[in-house]
Amino acid sequence: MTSLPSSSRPLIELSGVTKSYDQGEMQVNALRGVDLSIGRAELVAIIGPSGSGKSTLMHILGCLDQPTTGTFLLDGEDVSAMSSFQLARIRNQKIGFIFQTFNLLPKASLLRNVELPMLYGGVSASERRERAMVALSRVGLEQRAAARPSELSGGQRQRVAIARAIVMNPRLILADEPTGNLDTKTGNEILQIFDDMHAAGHTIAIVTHDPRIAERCHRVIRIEDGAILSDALQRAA
Amino acid sequence: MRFFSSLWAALVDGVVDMNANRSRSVLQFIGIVLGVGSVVATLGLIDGGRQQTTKFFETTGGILKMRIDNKNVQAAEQSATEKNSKGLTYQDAEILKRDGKNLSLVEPTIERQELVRRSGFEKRINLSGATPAYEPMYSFHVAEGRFITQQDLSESSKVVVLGSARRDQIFGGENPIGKTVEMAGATFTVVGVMERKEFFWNEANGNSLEWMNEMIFVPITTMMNRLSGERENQKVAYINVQVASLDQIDAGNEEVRTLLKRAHGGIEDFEVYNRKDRMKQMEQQGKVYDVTFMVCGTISLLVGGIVIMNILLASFNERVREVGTRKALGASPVHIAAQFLVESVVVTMAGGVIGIFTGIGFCQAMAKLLQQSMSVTPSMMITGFSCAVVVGIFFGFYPAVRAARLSPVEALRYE
Repeated sequence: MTSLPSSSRPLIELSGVTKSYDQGEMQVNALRGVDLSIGRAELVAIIGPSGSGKSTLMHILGCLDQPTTGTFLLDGEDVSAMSSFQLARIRNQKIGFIFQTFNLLPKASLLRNVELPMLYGGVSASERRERAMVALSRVGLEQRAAARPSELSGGQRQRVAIARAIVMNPRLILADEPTGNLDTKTGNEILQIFDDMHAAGHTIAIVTHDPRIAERCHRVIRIEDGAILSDALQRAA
Repeated sequence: MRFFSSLWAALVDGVVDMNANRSRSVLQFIGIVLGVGSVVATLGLIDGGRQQTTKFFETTGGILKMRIDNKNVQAAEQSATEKNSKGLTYQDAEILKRDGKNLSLVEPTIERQELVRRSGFEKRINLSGATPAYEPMYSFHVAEGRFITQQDLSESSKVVVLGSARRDQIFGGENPIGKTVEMAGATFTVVGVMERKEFFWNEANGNSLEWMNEMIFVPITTMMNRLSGERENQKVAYINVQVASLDQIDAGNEEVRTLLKRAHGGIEDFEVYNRKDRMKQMEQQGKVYDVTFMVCGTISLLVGGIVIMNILLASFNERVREVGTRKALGASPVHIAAQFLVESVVVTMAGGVIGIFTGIGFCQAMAKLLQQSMSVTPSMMITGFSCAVVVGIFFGFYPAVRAARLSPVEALRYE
């Protein structure tokens, strides 16, 4: 397996992944054996009702959390047994997060917000600035670089978050309910950006319970009760 | 290398973030400023008091001096021999001068009230019969003319040296050297005037050494031979001795005791006060205050530290989600800890510097209020400042470690 060059292998390979939590006396089995492989440049929707385990799956895919058992190869690297320091580095280098609540630093300018991942990646100050401006211009906000998030609309804030997610050129972009706090029209604009990024070759996984988002993705993975219920390709949006 | 540059960037980012959340930092800053201020002020006041004591001893002859006084033996306990003891005499001083190996100066003094007269002036004044050794013994020097000389002693000359206040009193603006005064019916020639002595413990209490300016000196032999009725007795009021060096104080003390006891037939009808013990005693008494002051200062600084921790912890909850976001973006536990720590360290360092000045201000205000001297030395500033930084790191550490250890999932979920 390791003899294959990493570029020809799937980006994500989960095998037999379980996750359980101790909640008081009870043990909660959030994932009960997930096998999943996502290739490069795919646009995948992960859907399921709340409590289905889709958030847990997203946390594991995003290297925010680790499987209880099973293995997770990201870009050919086994991340299931990494230390919190190594995981921080993986998140920094290989994953771009987009949250439902945007999670921007409220008191920092858009530029500083977008620079933040590069700061933890040890990118020099001048390069940080340059790359942050490029990322902001990709979401059409380069004119507002000095503004604070509070001066922006919800859709604009999510676009800043997208700029922040792509600025490190990650292997995987993980979006958690990216349109959950937006109206339909703004939501569609955000989804259009995802389509554009997908067309440009990014691998994107969107976690959502909104079937309309799922319709736009070429692959839909349905989670229920901690396991994959269905994994279907559909015609490209 | 990449990690260190990112760590540096995270530190800088922490400082930028502080600036964005100024109100949080300002409260911590005030806590530390007051804490360091009180530590510095406390140290300054303690040291100020100590320096005053040392200075006082220096102005009146230094720490090597010891004084031998007559001691009244309780009447009921007096044995027959003790009744015969005649107290300290000029003879005792001669013995000490001859046999005291540790003693570099011996100065017996006789005191006696006599009528002092000059045209338009008449008053009973305490005269001091002294030897040339009085000058170095008390570091009390003549300003004009000369002091009593060895020749004066051997000739029992009728010469007098005036304290500066007495000169003003008796002669007004005139130059008294060579003029005469009448004392106890005899005519004395003024040969010298002493320098003015001053020492202020605090400004309210006036000159504590004014009594020296009111002295009138005559040769001790003149006092014994011409003014005293009991020539045989040769009783003196006290004898001052000085040892040659600090490490001879104890030996000198012992020597004085042994020599005098032998001369007095085994009776200890005298007391020896050495200034080292006196200073130690004063320091012991002062220690109670020192400790009290120090405890107050330390408590203030601790309160400052607790303020820091409290504010860090209070703002902790609102920052948990931010920590989660930063972790999702790739901040390692070290980055997060550094960001929290830099905040408390910068606040305490800035607070420490300003606190030093506040402390000097406190000190001056208190010194004025208490009419007490004070001094703030660089070492106190360094102490105050380092205390602040230690407190900052100590109290900043717990919130920093807690933040660094947050699980990213929990932190992101935090409402």
